[in-house]
Amino acid sequence: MSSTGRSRPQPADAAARPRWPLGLLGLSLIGAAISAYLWRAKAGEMSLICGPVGDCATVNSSAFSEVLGVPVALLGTVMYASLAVVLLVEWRRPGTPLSQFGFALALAGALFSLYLTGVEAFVIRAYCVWCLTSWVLITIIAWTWGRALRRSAA
Amino acid sequence: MGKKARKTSNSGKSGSLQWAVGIAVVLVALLIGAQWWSNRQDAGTITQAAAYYGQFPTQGTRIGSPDAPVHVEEYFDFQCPHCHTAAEQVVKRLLDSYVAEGKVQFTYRFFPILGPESVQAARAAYCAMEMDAFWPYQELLMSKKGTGNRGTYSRDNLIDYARQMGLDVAQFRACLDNDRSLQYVRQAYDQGVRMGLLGTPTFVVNGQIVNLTTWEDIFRVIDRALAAAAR
Repeated sequence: MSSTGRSRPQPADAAARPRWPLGLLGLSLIGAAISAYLWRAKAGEMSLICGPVGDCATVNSSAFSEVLGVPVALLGTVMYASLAVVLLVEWRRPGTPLSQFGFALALAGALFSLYLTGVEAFVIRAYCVWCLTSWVLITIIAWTWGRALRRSAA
Repeated sequence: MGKKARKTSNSGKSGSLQWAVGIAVVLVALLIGAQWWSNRQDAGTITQAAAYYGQFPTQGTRIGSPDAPVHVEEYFDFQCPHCHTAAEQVVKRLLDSYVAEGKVQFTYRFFPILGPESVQAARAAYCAMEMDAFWPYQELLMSKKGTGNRGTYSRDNLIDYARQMGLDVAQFRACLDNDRSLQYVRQAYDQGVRMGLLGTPTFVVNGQIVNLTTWEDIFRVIDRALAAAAR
């Protein structure tokens, strides 16, 4: 308890630190790398390698790859980078209010990715393997984060 | 900590979780709404442009009656901010009055000087021209106001703009990758260099380069050319 009477999260002992933020931090960094790759490819700076699955060039250049002129891949890069920072804080000082913000961001990312996957299937009718990978990553992040918060609230 | 205090703390955390879910849902709704609104704007631009340019006789990058006494040409670059302004303040006014009245024919000339996306956009516009869609396509590109080679006119985006306009994407892509689109743009650029052009936009009226101080200057020169043609 601090002298102001408010309790503040203290850095946790190494043994007491939860492990889930570190796992999600790794997934966030992978997500950030994928999003940054899609973003730079959209800008024409890198060639987009799609592999044998789907047609990521069509998806990444479609009208649904931007929001008000801002590439969705750039939004994804910023989101994953923000999540990585919040997860690092959560690992060092568990239980800060920042964790709820991080979960909200991850959940928003998962829901928006779900919407975009629906757009791929029913509007564009083409799949982007990188986008699907990102969807899986952000869904795992949001799900795990939500469970951890629920456990701590129980 | 007593049971009651713990219960209050936990219900506070649970409430925060509900807030977080609420914020996420609102954020996603805003993103989806913004995306649909933006896409509708593009669809509106395409529909309006197709209807607008449909009222004029066009051939390639020329618009207006070939018998019009005054020929105005603009050497332009899709990434040049002043060309975006000229499209709104000069070309639109020119088309609405002078070209519509059969007094002027207007031609866009490619002069891509601002980097790789300028060349790429010009090649794409050439491909749209081959598919009889230059005018609505250039309007869509201009409406994007891309500058600085930041991806607005990347190859993928240019193909998607063609797709949004309902052009045959396979044909468009083949043209974009073909040397003939590059040759056409290169020849247009060489012509500008031979004329000694120093920048974009440069307006040429009946073969004479117009030195502009204000946008009004171009209309004064056109009026003089029309008066001379009437004598």
